[in-house]
Amino acid sequence: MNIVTPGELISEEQIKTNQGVFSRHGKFYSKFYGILNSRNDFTAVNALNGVYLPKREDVVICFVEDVKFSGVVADINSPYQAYMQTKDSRIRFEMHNVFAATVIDADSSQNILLDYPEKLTGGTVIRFPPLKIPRAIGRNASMVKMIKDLTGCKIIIGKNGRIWINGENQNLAKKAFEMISKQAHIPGLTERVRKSLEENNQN
Amino acid sequence: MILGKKNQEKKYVDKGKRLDGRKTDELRQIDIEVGVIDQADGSAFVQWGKNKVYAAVYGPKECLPRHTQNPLKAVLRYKYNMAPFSVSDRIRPGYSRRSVEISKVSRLALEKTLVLEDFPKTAIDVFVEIIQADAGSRAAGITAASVALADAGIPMTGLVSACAVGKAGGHIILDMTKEEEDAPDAIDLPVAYVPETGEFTLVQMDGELQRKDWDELIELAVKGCEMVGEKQRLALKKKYEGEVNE
Amino acid sequence: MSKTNLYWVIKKDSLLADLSHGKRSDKRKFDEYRKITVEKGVSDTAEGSAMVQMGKTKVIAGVKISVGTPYPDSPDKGTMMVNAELLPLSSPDFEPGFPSEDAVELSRVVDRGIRESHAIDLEKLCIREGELVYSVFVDIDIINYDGNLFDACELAGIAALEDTKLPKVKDEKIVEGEFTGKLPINHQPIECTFAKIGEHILLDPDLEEDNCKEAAFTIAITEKDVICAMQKRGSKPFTKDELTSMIDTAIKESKKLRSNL
Repeated sequence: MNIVTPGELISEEQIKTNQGVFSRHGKFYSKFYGILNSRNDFTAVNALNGVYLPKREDVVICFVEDVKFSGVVADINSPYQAYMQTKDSRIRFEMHNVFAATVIDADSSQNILLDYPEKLTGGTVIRFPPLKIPRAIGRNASMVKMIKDLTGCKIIIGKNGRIWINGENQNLAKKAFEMISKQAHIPGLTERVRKSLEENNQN
Repeated sequence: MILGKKNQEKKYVDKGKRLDGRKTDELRQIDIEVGVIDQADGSAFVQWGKNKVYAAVYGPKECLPRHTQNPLKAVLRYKYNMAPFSVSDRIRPGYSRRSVEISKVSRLALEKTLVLEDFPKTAIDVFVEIIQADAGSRAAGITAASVALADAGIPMTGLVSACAVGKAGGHIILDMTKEEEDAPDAIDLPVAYVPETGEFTLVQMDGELQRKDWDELIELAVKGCEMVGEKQRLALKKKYEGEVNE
Repeated sequence: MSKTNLYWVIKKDSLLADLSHGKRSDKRKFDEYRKITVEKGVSDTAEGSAMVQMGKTKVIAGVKISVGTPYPDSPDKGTMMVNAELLPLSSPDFEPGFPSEDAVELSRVVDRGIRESHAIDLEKLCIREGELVYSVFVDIDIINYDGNLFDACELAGIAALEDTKLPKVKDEKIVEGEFTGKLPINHQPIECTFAKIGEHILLDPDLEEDNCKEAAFTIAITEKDVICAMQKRGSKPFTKDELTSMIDTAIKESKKLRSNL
């Protein structure tokens, strides 16, 4: 596993790359403390840590921070506040309600608009590093599906670093996600999580 | 009179060795640990000689009060603070003009390489606490803060490395201890430097500097900061080293 | 209003549900302390120091001694002051600047535990009655916050005092590097803090429990089981039985804490 630090030289020649790399005088450097991934002719640096920046179509887990006449202001675990219109919605929102929603607009002035809410009652919300959320979901949602099957819990994963879990075995699911958070970068994770859940089920 | 004579007799460098046995271009022992404060977004602990320094980063986060927001980029805030028991004469907790100045120059030292434009209207807070000081605490603070900012996932064009160069007993030396800083002819020149670009982002000095000494001092400063930079990079890489082998 | 506050508000329901099933997140009993380590002599610049870890809460206490004039109403006693800093370093909820009411309360309750127990033999710190006495400053820095600062700070404070050497005084001034012996310590006060969430009372609250609590109670006890300070915090009340039960638990559990000194 190749860990790179900010300002570290990645390539002296032109490469196809992602947002984790910047160029200066024709050379390419890492912009983050992250992992270097080179595949075919694509070189990417993926940051190991970072804040959640909302993008359109992200599903996020929100907390109602303020209720206004025609909408709610929501805390979406981002430096930017989010707003959702509730005039036409049949759902009534109150302070501190938890709900899942989709980001429908995230413009350059950092005004975030949400819609398609689903109120979440009961269960528990856990925090999870936003950049590692893809690991929690897994390829084709394989990881989260496995956890749902082995714990019988309802689970909704928010791209904003929050996971809602509801069910009798929610603490088991919680532990599984804690494991993923700590070991996201180590290969063979899915099997380890499966083993751990199966062992716990036997107890 | 006798006291003055004693000071002048003190050999700050004797046969290439300083009072603590180091060479003139040698850094003190530096150990850096990354990710030591659970609730912080990024953190580091630096032991530099007898200096013990913690740095924690919170952000990007909402910038309050609102009127301090910058619509185009994140606002960096840096607070340098010394624990009351960090030096031999207890420091009263609270406001200190020295801490305010160090906070300001340190903030500017770090700002240059941060890509603050990626997070408009937000704030990034850096808190540096000196638990134990033995000269060079501001350099240790900046060094720790740069690592903590990287640990927090803040995008940057390079790490900022800091150190101090100076003069004691007629010799130009790197990384002074308090004893060396107290020499009668002492020069204290702390710097912060970006090894990747060769830019100085902090330069301060007190003492009496002759032009003829400048070239050697600044070259030594570059060398010192490059060595510090190596330590910072190694510490960041080491954080995940143990886990890969599991 | 800090964003984190909202997270704890929302966590409270699931925490209450777990507690109703008798479960704490780290599988502890409701009257059990987390793992505790005490390391003395961690500072080269303080006359005495200690670092305490309670779970993941980490605090460092440093004792500095100087000389000064005694208080007018106790001319034959040294002076002492305890100060605890909620460093913004350790939590997104601690703001830099002027000490908050929580920070002041923490300092004063930790101070009270040490002062009211007469832990330091202040009379032995008198150099010249009415004119010159030793002044003892205990400063405690919070490095990592994972709940229960009161107990961690008290333990660090008393451990640092036990580690303290008394400097020599010559011509009204402290002589650096020379000592006359150890700081005279007569008692070892320990503080035990309980958090109330719903109907449940928990000893040594961790971060989540501390942030979700509705009330808290701190009891300072000496090695002779003498209670020397108490402080109730938070908006919800306690019943008489609850208070009695907490006192009994504190008397028992403080011994375990004290054994770390």
